[in-house]
Amino acid sequence: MTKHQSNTAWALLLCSSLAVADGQMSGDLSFTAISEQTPTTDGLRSVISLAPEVTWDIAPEASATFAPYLHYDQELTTDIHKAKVDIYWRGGNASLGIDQVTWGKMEFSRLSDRINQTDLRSLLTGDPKQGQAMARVSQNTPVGQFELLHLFDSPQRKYPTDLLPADVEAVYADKISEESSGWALRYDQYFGAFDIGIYGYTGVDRDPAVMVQNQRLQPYYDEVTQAGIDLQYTAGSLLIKSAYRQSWDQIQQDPVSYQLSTADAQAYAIGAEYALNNNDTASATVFAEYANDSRGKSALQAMQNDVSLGAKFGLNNLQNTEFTVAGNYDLDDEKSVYNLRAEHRWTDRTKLEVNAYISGKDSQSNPINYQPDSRFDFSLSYNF
Amino acid sequence: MRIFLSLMVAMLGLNSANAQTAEQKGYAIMQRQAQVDEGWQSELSQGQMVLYTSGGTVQRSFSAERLEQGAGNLSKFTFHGPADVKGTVLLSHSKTEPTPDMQWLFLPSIQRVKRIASGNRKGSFMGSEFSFEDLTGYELNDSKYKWVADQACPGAAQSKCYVVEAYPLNRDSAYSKRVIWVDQQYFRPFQIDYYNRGGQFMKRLNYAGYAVFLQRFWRPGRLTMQNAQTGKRTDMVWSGYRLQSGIAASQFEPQRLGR
Repeated sequence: MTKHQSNTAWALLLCSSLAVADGQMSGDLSFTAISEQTPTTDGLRSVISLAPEVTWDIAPEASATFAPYLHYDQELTTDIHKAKVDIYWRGGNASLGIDQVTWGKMEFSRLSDRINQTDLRSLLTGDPKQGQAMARVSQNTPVGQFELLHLFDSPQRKYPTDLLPADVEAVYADKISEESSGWALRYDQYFGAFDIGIYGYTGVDRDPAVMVQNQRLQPYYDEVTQAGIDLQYTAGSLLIKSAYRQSWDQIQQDPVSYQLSTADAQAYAIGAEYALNNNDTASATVFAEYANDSRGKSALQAMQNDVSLGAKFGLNNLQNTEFTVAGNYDLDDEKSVYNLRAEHRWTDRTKLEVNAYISGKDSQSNPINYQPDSRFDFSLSYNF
Repeated sequence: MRIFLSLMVAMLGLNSANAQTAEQKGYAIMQRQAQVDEGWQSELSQGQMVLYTSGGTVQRSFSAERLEQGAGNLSKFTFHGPADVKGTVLLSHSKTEPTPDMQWLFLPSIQRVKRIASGNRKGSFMGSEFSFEDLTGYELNDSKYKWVADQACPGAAQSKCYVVEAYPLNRDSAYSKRVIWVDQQYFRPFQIDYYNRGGQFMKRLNYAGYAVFLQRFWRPGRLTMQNAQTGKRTDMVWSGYRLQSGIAASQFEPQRLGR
């Protein structure tokens, strides 16, 4: 049993013991019909996902949460997004268990989002974060909030099975494994119109390289130390956002030869979000971002020299009808990816979603940042 | 006794109104309203937001927390239902002009706290007839005022109201003018008419079901916002008020949202 499986088992045991107490359950059950074209698939298929979340108030200042995630896409896979106990006190809290943490303010680039591993299986349909076992303490002070996290393990990125069969084992650099722990520290504060976040992370890099062994892809993980800052400024209807991340001894991979090496790397993103003249019947917000990584095409993440543009239109109605259009342009290979999305609440408990995704990129040319060639999906979700 | 003293102070201030301009009298009325309501410190309450449209009704339940602060009150709405909005939190830090109000929205579906740009504050909050701006509240010096009349209070003909026009100073406000009916006895708002930037009558807010807490703080049991242009209506039904409830200021920090 790996350390990750062990943590999961402990979480299940903890939540089973709580199941005798009255809990509040919520969550969603969603059915998605997908028409997708990838290097190995071209056709229609169905995906069903179930994401319940149960919360128990176990003491006046303590709660427990359990949120498993079941995903059926040709085969059934499970994950635990949350299984934790939280304790609260005036101005602070501590939690122990599996959790999801979101850092950063950018709309497209995820430079600062360092804590949870990505689930590429649900990248286009839902929450792409996996659960992460951690101990987390945060405290508000007169000068801002400080947050310390100890990460008990380093879950592997999950890939669609047509890209990476489940039996393929990841490779780790010397002295590390899936059981390696990590540390993170973050500071958050706002000064009038400014929101600022500063963080540090040391542990297994969340972005693996992909090696080719016997004509099969094999993820490769290494250690990394990172520090970063994200800054947001609000000026009337305009939000200006930026993020910077410094990495020491970060792995990089030549996109042609797949040769691995390490180097200090800098990544940044700048962007703006502008609310147009919104009123009580409609709203519109436009977004623009540019992201850059000093490793260039050797970076192991999307958006290393990319411009992203987007717009969101809301009808401000009872059904929360929203339309989103977004485009990403890779300045290196001069190719674009477009995404169109429409959301509409059907009833109090059901929501319809239509998503169209068209890529001008050849997905086979870049398995490191896997994306389908095109995709159209229709999703019906039931909230409970 | 405290109510009596408050009223005496209010009456003394407003008796000199004859020598005041309409603007000075309007400001004095609103200043009295703010003074009479001082001292509640913190407030907890429960609410139901009921949205009425031609297609039926939708109900949303929430809890509200407010904290009284000299430089601008803090408020937090946490939604408990229906399921698709459960956990959504709207946090507002009201400021006095020229400092803009600050608002943050926590969306549990993406587990992110988003700052609300002032341009977005004109927009409807969760499809209701209340905008983000309406839910922030207004500080005394956020507007210029003008007394226009004394009239029977809307919905309470036995009570007499001051009618005061408020002109928002914030250029990003959705409104060119709010017309406020404030009762002359306890300085409770009874009705507010909202006019858009084009000067057209936009919507009307009515207060009803007042009850007094801690012997001096009046709180409404129902707010009804009726949109004059679309015919749609949203009610906020309030219950379970607990004043001076000892909420910590740290609960109103944006970093704490979602915890």
